[in-house]
Amino acid sequence: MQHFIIFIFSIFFVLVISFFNRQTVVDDSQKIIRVYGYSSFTSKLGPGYELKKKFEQICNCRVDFVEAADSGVLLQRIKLEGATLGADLVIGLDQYDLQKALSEINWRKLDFSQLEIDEIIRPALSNSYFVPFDWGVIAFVGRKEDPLPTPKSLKDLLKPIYKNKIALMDPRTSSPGMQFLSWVYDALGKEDGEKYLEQMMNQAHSFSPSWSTAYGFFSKRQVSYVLSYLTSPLYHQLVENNNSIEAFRFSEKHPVQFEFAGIPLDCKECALAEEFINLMLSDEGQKIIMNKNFMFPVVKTALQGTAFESVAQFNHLSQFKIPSVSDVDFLIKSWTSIRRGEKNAK
Amino acid sequence: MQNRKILQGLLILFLLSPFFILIGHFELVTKWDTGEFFWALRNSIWQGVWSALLSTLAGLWLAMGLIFCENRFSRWFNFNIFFLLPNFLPNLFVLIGLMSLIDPFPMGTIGVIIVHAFINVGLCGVILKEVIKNKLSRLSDVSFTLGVGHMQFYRGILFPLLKKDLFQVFFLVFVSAFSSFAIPLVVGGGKGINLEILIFEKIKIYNDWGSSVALAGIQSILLFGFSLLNFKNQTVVELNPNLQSRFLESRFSFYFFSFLYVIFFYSYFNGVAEGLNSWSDFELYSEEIANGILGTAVISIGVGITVFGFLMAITRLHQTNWFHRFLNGYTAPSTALIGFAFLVFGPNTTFFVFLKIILGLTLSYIVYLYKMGYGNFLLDLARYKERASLLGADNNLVFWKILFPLTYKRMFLYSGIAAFWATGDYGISKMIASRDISMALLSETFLSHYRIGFSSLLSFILLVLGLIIFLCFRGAQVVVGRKINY
Repeated sequence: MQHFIIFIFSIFFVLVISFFNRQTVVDDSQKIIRVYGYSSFTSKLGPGYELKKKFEQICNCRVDFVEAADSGVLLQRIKLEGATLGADLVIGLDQYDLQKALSEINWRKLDFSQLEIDEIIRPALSNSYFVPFDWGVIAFVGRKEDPLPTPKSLKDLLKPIYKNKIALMDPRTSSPGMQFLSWVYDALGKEDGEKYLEQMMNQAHSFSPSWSTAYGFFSKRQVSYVLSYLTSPLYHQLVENNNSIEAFRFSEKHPVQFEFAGIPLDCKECALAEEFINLMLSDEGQKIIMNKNFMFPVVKTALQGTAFESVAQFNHLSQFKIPSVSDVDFLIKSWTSIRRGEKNAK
Repeated sequence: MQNRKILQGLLILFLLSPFFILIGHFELVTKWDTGEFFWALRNSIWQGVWSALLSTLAGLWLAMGLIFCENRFSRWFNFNIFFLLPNFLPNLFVLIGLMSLIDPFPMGTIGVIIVHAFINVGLCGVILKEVIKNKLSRLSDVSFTLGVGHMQFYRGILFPLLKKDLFQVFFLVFVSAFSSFAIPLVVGGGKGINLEILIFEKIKIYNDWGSSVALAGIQSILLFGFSLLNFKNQTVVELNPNLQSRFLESRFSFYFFSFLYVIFFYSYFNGVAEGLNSWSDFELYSEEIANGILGTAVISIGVGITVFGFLMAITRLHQTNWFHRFLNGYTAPSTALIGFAFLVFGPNTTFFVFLKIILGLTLSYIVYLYKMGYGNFLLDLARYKERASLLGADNNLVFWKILFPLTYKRMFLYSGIAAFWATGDYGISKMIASRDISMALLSETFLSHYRIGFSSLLSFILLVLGLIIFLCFRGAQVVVGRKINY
């Protein structure tokens, strides 16, 4: 009996060892650049895979992607592994992560001020450590055939006809959720914003932990509207040939979300990391990012002649700013106390 | 004796290791807020008690439906799996299915309780069905022959004999609902904030690992305290393989629950069918899917084998003392804390990533499986151990010749269940893995790229894979059984 059990265990371990051997056939002479990011970027579905292939053709190096669950884990991972294994490039931080990232990790200075970008997004280049590689406009998305009247403002969403029809995200776990929170405060001010959010607690269908869960509710017709991106309908048009999804223009200026890349100070392949950023910001790289992420490219020329061009004419945008740690803190604490049903944010 | 104590200590050290790692890694200065703690505790208890009560009562009724089904249709199909499926589906699919079933779906605490109850009712039903078969089958036949009425049978026989098992099942659901995270976050609203969400808030908002570890520790101690209310049932087990009693089977229950589950699965399989439309994605992402299947298989089989190893160790080291009390009462910390503790401990190369995921999942499943009935089963075997020891058998002989032949079926069953659960793990894997190494992670990535249909299809493949691995463990059990009998 003991022998049989040992035999089963041995078979499993032989399988495991062969699995790992298969995975680790690498050319030792090549340099390795370690890129940290989220799976939506690094997976084959995202732009990371194609960028990696292109880069490996020209750099005589290997690109290793390291994924993390969220920005908190990402920064912890870099702190843990950065010094030993090396963290050469970090991709996918948004404007709400930047100050936290700056306070926890030392970054190399970058200068991309000469990039040819739209003036409206130039403020995103104002910092010295991070460079934006794509951007999106936050908007509510719905179906054209929906019998309900189209909402035209944030306040419209509080009308009784929209009760339980809107899927939102929890700003503590979701970047678009955070954008919504900031949108409400920017558009309505602190006092009215808090009142609005208190009412929204009973109005929204759900506050999902992630964009994908909320969008899942929308796709499965559990809700009529979901907080998403201005470019979301393009996915349905281009991939599914479905023209029934639309994004709504609100009277309040829409928030803009940027995704940034940065190079930690203790990078091991710093020059390669910078070259990788150059590829991401090239016309070719920007098109890959645009077509895979369904976000706008930061470089103007990449948009020309694409389906994104007309959508990008949308200019009803809020002024971009990088929030401080205390701003982010205020937003999250305020949300937490309103969500708990307390009247005033502490 | 000394060795046994050391090994018991090592096992407990492993189970407590996430706390020690996090205490060692972070500076644990806590900013304690008593009001906030009691508020979250009240919500946790409220959600836990109602979810457990609803699941246990509905589970008891379902158990009667399952007995009816076993008496009528078991030759063709094992329906247990059908009712256990919600336990293995990603939360989003459970929520979408339930929202199709209950429209409008009540958000808030009631919603949380309904989701927990629905997820757990199948598990409760299957466990209680086995208990009823073991404990009541002869009695019910005798009662029926003697002309005992239905209500008299339930009041005088069923509830008194099953009350401790019902409590055990209640506690099992209570533990999982008490420490649930994703469901209260999505459907709970403000009042859904329980201790688990408070722990998450401490990490996310305040970066206060001290408070989060302290809260997780208190949560474990509280659940340990609740477990002390539980005690073992000494009812003699006499199985009647030809159970036919009218008291214990319910045709209505079977059809009622089947109807609910069919509506629930209709929306899920609708999504799977939609995924078939994106068949071309299979070709495009075949390499990732193949790697995901392999990775899932390694994690799942690895967890199954490690759990089997741990169950063997527990069986060998088991004593009806503090060791049993600890295993029966201890609750592993949340997946976020386990995942993070294992992430910061040791290297993160591919091999270690898999090893950490396997150990992390084993850690979170093993005490749950112990509570699911393995612990009480070991208590029942204590008398055999005692007799053998009195007759002079050494520990080795007692284990291989007496305990193993009596426990191997359950060990394989529980290892198979753990392997099945591991196929769908997202929480610990996401925290530790540095890429999409499993199908569950891949499914989530597809979901974050608008592809909900394809993601449903992948989750279905995941279910099938889990089922195959579960059956492999059952197959190994048959082989071991033949070896033992030979």
